[in-house]
Amino acid sequence: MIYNNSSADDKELVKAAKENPDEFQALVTRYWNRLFCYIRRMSYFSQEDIEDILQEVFIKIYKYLNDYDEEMNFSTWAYRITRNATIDEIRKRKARPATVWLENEELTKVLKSSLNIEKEYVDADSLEKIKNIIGDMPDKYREVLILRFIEEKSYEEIMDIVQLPKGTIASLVNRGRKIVTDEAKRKGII
Amino acid sequence: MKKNPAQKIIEKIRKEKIVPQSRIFLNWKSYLFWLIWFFTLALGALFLSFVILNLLDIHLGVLHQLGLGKIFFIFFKTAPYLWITLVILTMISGFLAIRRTRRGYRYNIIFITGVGVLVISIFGVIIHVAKINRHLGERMFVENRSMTRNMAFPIEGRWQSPEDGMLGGEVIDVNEKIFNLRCFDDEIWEISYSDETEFKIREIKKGIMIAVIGEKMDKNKFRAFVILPPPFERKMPMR
Repeated sequence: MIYNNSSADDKELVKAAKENPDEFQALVTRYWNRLFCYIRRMSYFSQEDIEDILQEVFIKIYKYLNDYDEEMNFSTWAYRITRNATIDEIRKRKARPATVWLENEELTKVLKSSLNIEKEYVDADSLEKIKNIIGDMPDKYREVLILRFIEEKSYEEIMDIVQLPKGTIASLVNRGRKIVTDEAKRKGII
Repeated sequence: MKKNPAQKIIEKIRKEKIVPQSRIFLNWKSYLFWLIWFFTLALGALFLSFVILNLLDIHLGVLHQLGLGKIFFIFFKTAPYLWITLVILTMISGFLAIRRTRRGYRYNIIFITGVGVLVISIFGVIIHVAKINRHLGERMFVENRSMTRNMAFPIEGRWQSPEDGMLGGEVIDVNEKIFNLRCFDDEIWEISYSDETEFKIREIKKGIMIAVIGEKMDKNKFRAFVILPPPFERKMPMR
């Protein structure tokens, strides 16, 4: 049975893909865009580069299907492999992301969650400043803020993606939020 | 027409005959770190059993004669620091090994440490009760006159404290109310005893190991209050 474009859940698709590679197509289709955006938020890579990375990521996911632990969401596991592949690629190119690719509404999400402000409208100048703050902050904080507030992952999921203890994740998120808050105050955004 | 990415990936999988790898192959590193964890805890248990062996010589007679304060002082002076350090090191190594396993990042530091302490304690006591530590200690350290002996078994150091009223060693010569004792540091002491001396051993004869509680009278002269079987039964080193 081919599950392509079906409503079968991820775990069923993984089982089916182990038997027949064609079934894997449904998983690729389901996660391609989400993982594409995730890589773009983490890196400065071009669309073509991201597509190449993603192709390798999905091949790796396929090769590692037997390693998938069903106690975890498939999406969490796919994010983990994507994250590791992206970090490897950034290291290979020996360059830190010069800028971050975040849409205005994504920036607003980070801003609101960090500063606890209810303001619906944030002006373009402030968004640009926030983008710079996020771009300048250490990778470890930026990464968890993106996962928490843009990808909307729970602490448990972030723990499984970045493979760090839950307490460490909580403290990274809090420190990251503090950096955004302090810098926003310093730059007169709030 | 441009192919969608999913189709391209499936084609690549088919063309390069890629198949999902086996679970054992993918997890060999994790299994290895579990094995390392197991071995570090086993070593930790053995080291702990040496700690127990070194500590369990506090005889009630000693407490009575020396008093609690002096016992504590001697204990801290001659605690098995080598083994205590090694137990801590194995705990840390075990912790690092478990963190490198597949889901090691999920375990809480208190949980891992708690499990480590529990496993090491249970097996440490079992090794001690089974007297494996005693046999191993004899074989590894005591029969060699090396520098490591006193570090490994400071229990002997505890019985080399005439100023604190404790002496131990081999009886080399027995006379009326007096005998000579060769201590662990090879020094010869003349030990005198009387009818008031408390004997926890059947008789004093040449070649046996004993421990003596008493007081130093003069240079290399010692008066015995209590004579005990040795806390650590070993042969004197070969000359």
